[in-house]
Amino acid sequence: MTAAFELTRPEHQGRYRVTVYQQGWRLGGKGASGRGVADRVEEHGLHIWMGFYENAFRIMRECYAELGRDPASCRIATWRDAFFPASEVGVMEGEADGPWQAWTASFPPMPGLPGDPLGEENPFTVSGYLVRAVRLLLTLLDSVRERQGAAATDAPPWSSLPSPESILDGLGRLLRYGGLATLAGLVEGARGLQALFELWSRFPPARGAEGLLDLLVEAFTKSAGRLLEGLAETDEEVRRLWSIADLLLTVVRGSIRFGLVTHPRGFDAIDDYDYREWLEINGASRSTLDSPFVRGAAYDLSFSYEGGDLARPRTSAGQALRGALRMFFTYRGAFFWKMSSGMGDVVFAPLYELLQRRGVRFEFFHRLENVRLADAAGLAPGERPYVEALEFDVQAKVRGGGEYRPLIDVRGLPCWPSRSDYGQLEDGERLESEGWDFESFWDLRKAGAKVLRVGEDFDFVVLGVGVGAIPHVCREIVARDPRWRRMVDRVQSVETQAFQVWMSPGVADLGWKGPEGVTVSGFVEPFDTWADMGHLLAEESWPAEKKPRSLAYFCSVLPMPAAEPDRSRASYPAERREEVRRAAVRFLERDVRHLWPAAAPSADGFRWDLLVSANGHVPGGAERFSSQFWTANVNPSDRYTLSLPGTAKDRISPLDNTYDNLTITGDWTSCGLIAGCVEAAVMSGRLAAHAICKSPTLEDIVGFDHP
Amino acid sequence: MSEPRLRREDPDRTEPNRSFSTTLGPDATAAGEDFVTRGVRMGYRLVEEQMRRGQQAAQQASTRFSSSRGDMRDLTERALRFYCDLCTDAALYWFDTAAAMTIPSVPADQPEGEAAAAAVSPAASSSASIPLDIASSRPTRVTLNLQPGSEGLPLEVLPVRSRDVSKPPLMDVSFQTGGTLPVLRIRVPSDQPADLYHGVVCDQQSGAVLGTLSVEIRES
Repeated sequence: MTAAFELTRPEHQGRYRVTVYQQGWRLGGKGASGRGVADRVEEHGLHIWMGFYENAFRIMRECYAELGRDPASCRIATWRDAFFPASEVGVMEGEADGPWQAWTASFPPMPGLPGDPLGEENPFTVSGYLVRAVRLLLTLLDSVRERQGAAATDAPPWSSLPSPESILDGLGRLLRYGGLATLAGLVEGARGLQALFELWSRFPPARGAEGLLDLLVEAFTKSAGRLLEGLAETDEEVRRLWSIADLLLTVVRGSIRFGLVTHPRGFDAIDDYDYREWLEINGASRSTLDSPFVRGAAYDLSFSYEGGDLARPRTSAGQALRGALRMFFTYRGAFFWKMSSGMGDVVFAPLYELLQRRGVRFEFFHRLENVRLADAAGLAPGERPYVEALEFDVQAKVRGGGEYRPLIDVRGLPCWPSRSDYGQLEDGERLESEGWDFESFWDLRKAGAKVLRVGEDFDFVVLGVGVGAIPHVCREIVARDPRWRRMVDRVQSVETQAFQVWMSPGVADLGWKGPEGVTVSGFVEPFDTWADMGHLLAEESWPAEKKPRSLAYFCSVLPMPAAEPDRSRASYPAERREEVRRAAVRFLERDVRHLWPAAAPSADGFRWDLLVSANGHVPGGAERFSSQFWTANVNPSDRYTLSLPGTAKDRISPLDNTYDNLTITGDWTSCGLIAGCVEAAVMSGRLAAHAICKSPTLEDIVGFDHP
Repeated sequence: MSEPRLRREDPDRTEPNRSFSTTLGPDATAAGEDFVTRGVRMGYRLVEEQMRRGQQAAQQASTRFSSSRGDMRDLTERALRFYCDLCTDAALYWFDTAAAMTIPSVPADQPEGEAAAAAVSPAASSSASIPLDIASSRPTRVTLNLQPGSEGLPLEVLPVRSRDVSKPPLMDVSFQTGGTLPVLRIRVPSDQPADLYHGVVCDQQSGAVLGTLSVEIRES
């Protein structure tokens, strides 16, 4: 969608005619959502935008501005209506059997808004990150000092660009306070570190400086560890703060030791390491490695479990570090931004409307089956291989041959439905009664076939399927091209699971002690991440007497079978969906009490009567869960893209011109941000557009040249 | 005859430029500068900053600290001892770091094995051209990091210590004046333990830190 958005910008003056071919009835892929009974928002999983999604926010801001919705008739008329700051974030800490404790924090707003033009200073330098890391360290130490009631230092802050003599002055103060053996001394020492790193961020380090800095940080870490680990024995908050401080110091030391500040590969230089492995190499303590801050933020939130196996947490150190530093140090406005409706309504409906207005054609119910290459023997001398044809199964035909109209109106807001509108389809009643599943990889039923040929039906192809679908739709390329074969072998994806429950009490009444609207990760498996999404209730259409007061999303990886089931196994999605249902019921009965003690007053039960059903018939007991929403995201194209160690180099760029009329797009490509997320997908889409029309410029794609 | 098939042009590059040269930021790239132009511009910017800071340091050294030489030396020594006491792993390196961060490197390596007898020789690769007079019975490597322009100042070396506080410092290290340039004079006692020793070079009058000295003594 991003590529279509870029190629049809008004400044191109209609040079590119774009047609979007989409399987099923809705756009969005992994980000698609639909409105179900009572206009419930039903999603593939939890979608929250981070404050560093510069490209994604920029596209959406431009989209809403150009669309020009009337606020009087549409409640989501601007991007600020569509997204709102959500700064309450947390991780859960505990053992499988409990007790679990929430560790929540409210991230402060930062200057600017995501998608604003960047300032003069490039925020994406490793040395700049180190400065910010040390600043945060200083803040943490200061908060520990305050908790312990230690005296604040009366020293003025170091200048932002210290001279050698000012560093010496600072050392003099440090000596007066008795050195790093005290909290005040540690704070001062951190100030010294900060001064040095600020200096380093402005000037290239002299020969040998890195080794010396490494030793200095190590000394600081040892001193801080000795002092804070002692304090942590009696103060839980200090233990947590020390865990973060230790992580920061480890990242600083590792960045110095591995020469990341000036390394030509940036963070990719440590791509071969697993994140926790790299932290351990650089001296992180065992408690830090096992902390929910590492596990929840770096693994759970990004589904980083190979094959969905919870015993195999693996994620590239380079990408984890790049992502974490961008997440914590370059967000603008808010740390998280939540959407005020489903992602389909907030993102893909306005994009669809705008693109349609620009003249883009949409062909729904087209399932891509083969990207056919031209016969290599027929290529002219020097001619590159190219896509000769695209072969589709047409899943359903629109009555009267017109365009399918996919959106529904929910009190003035264009939205996607959770089901296709069979009334618009030829023989729709039969398709509905036979249960055709237009989004299932395993449902091969079709109403026809279509072949698009180069030169007649298209000139260029932008392939926007998930990486899991590549072996199927690009089997000729994979068979012929070792690079593509290596990519599909190595760049893995994982199935995910999610469920949503609507409940009559508010979250506080459920016994949750933390802030409302929170997103927490690191909780007990199989559903390690919970988000309070109660704000969506205002978007839904519940009868007044039934209106729920809370809405909870849970999600996590779904352990995968050893081999992808054959396409003849049409029942596979339903089998997996049943597994998710059983897991969700078990989770609510056994584990959710650690989050919401009032929802499960006894250790072996859940108050099923709290669930609100939109249906007339309300079953009792655990059967009541069937009135809620759950999903198993098992289609190859819907699987979540992993960033396994050592695989960044195996990704292929949308800019790659091996097949000179084909470009690829998706969060699985080499797009600068090696992560499964909206921002990577948008960056990749912008690169795909650049590959065709040289616009946007690569420098305009924020973060592409990030170290 | 049908129209020729459309082809994509080859891109200028296919991968991110992750090197630190991107510290120039988007302002430069927006102007359409190529990589070389950007690199040269960055180099000039850094040189200008270095020169500006050098001038500032010289000015401060000649004014602010002219009356506080003793204080600065004392502070330097105390801080050095402090870090030695605090954590031997990091002993000495604070100063080396602070100095090395702010001055360009000017190595003055004495070739191994050539320092077996006392000799006066110019430092092989020193742009500062500080001659070296060293006497050592064992292979010895000397590295001098000195701020540009320091050779014209009266230089002083503070005690040159090992990270291992049990080892005695190198006591006979000094800058000899008399000629147009100071000569770095080092005398390594025959019983000096093999190790890497570090010291700080100061302006004798102001006490301002001007650089660092490393002496690596190896076994015979």
